[in-house]
Amino acid sequence: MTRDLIIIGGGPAGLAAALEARSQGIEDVLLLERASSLGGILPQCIHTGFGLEEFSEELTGPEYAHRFIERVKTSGVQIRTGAMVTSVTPEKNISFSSSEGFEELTAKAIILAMGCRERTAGMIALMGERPAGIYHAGAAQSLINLEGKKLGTRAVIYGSGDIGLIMARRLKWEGVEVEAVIEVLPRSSGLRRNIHQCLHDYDIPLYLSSRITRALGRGHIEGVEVFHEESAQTRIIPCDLLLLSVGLIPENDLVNRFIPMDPVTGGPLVNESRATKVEGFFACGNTLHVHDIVDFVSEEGRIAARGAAEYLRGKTEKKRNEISLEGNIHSCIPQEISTSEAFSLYLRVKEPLEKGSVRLYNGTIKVLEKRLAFAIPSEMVRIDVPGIEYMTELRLEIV
Amino acid sequence: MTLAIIGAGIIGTAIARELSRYELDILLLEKEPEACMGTSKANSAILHGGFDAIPGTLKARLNVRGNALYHQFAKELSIPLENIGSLVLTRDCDDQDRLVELKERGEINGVKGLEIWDRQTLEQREPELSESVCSALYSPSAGIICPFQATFAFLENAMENGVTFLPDTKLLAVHKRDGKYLLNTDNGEFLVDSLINAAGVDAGHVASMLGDEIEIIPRKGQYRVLDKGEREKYHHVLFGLPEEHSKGVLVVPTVHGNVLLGPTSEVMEDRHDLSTDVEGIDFVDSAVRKLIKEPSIARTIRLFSGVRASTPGGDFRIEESENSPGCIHVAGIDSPGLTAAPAIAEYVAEILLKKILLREKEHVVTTRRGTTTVHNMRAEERHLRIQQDKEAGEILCRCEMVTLAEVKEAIRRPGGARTVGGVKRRVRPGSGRCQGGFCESRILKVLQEELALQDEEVQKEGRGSWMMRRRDD
Repeated sequence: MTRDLIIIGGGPAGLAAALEARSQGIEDVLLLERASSLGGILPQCIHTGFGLEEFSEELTGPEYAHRFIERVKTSGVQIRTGAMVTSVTPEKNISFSSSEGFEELTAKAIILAMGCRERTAGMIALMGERPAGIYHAGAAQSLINLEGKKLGTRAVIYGSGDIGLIMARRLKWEGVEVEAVIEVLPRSSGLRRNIHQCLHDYDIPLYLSSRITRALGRGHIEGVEVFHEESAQTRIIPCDLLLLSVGLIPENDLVNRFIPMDPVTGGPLVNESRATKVEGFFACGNTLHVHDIVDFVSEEGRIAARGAAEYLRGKTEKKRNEISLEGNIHSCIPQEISTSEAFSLYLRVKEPLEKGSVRLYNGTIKVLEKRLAFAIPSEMVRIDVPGIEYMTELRLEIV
Repeated sequence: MTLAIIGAGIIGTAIARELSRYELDILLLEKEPEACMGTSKANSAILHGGFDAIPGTLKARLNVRGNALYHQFAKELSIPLENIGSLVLTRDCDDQDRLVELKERGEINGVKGLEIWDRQTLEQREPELSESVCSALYSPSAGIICPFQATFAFLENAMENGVTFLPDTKLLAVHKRDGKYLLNTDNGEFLVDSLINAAGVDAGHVASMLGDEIEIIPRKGQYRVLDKGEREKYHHVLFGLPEEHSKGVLVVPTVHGNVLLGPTSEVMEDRHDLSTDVEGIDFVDSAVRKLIKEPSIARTIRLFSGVRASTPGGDFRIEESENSPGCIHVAGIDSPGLTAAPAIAEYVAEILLKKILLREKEHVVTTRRGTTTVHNMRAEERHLRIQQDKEAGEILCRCEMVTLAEVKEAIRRPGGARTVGGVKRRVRPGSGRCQGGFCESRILKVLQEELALQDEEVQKEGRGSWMMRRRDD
């Protein structure tokens, strides 16, 4: 059976994409979600800080998700939960498994919104034995917030990304002693507001430029050995719980055989419509690149849905121009431009920056220059670019 | 007659299975909550050809025989096995002589089909080799196997034929009583006529309880596990030239689609030390670079260590107890122990049959059905299966595509999973690239529901590996 649009993933990206697809007039929209309910990771994010851009209100994760889910349910989108996609082909054949059976469908267009996963102890080469009591921060969040479990009494958190910071505070509220947050880099990799609200407000120490060199204990974790780079000193911090918050990776295992990926973001290479390099495939949310604010994820879902709608209406894509990156830029979404109309760029800097500027060149012509008072790698920067009539070679730099 | 086997690793379970053909009451004691918790769960997962053991040793004989036996019954017992062959690689063309020597040794051991391949042949058949490799010894009978499923297959088949499996039963002392042996364990006392010591790295300790002295040298091996997708690069098990105490560092495709790099070979003071360290893993990385083009280190999903039990003499020590008549030690089972296991079991039965008259049972079950996995089924078949059992449609583990039905089956089978690690070894949730990040909470829930466990009773692996605390703790 051929469907117009299939969206894989019912988290914030997929939900926003589904709604926008309907308002773009796509009749036949199928949303496939592997979990038993919609919302992705939001239902376990019971802290606030969601929705400032989207709703001009500060909401919790479940509230933010709820607003979208309620609208999607009445929008005419066909929703299948508990439906795990097991394979996707370049011809847009999708197979998925649910308690109802194993089904195969073909789509005219597909939006990828599968989210991301957490980096593991093996990936960061955590040494020592492999005792119980080491959890990925997101997995711990789900066990604590959704299942009401108690994972330990004395915790260390490895990695100062947002989930790690939020979990530090969450554990404190649960009555767990939080001994320290350990960060390899000389700076936190979380949002500034989270450093203040989650660590400073609770007197939780943050050890920068420090590595966990060993997990101690056999049956259950008993502590961590921490090496401080500058002083070359090693200390032991006793704990019975270690949370890993050491980075997120876009989940593209269904499609990375045939969709070209950006080695820096870990997601597909896309143009301003979030069209990948394989016809009819669009990508948004953390499956495209890891975001720090959910509001941007929703926005990206809508961009991808408009792209998919145009594609379904038969609009052909113009030639793509790759943006080359120079200077202090870690990554940029989209990587390619194929429109003469206005578009937005979402950037991350490599190194913290004060009083810098972003410049976009079209060939030798400077199209845009914008001052950047302040930027850090953990906070994405959005730059709006006016339409460019005769596009040649695009070059973006931050100095 | 009652016989106790100490240790439910690959050796203990293989012996239990072999002896379950006879009219015997067999108790299989395991100190951990499940079978396959020691050396059997952390090794190179290889079926060795058998060319490098010194002719005339037990290792030489039992390796070749064990390899043949697996090929005979892998299908009936649903043990995943692939006959991909192995290559021993040399980088120095002057080492060619050593390959010829190995080949001759292998032929004396009865290994069939050994060939020496030159660089040109290697480029065609194993294109990812390092530039410096110049020739190799090819052994077609070598292969790869799932050591977990092999152990569980032996265990389940043994239990089906009447063996009593006693997990969480640690042997504390053995007392002689009227020609019998009273086993004092932390799970009660057992009076037996005979005892088989298959305690792996603890075999020396068990031997001392029987008044014997067996020296075990624990040797640790550290490994990397690479993500799926890497396996397609390699077509054989790849070895360097054997070293004095080990077969060196290997590149091993696994039956599950991953690649193992390792092991180190480190003599340990502490036989239960399973730690990994930077030196060990760096050693593996640099050794592997001598065999293959740049390994995809960045695609590592896990590091692990295993400890194997060596002996000073280098051979297996399978012998009757000197001081406790009727007892048999099966000690020093390091490489190629996994391959030799079914032959070791036969050999133990031979020793036993010389001592006592054993009657064969009239009816013996010889087959064992593996777990029904839907992942490799054709679409229609899979759909039908889900119509029969909707839990076969509910995928808990997205990396390895494991369903709720499979997880429940892993727990419900004879001698089934009791721990998170046990579920992982049986049906693989948590062995994939997310390492349980997504499925762990679901697995905990299923274990709790199936086994009526309180939060604090759920274990990751063995004793003391609690996962959660009581809410009011």
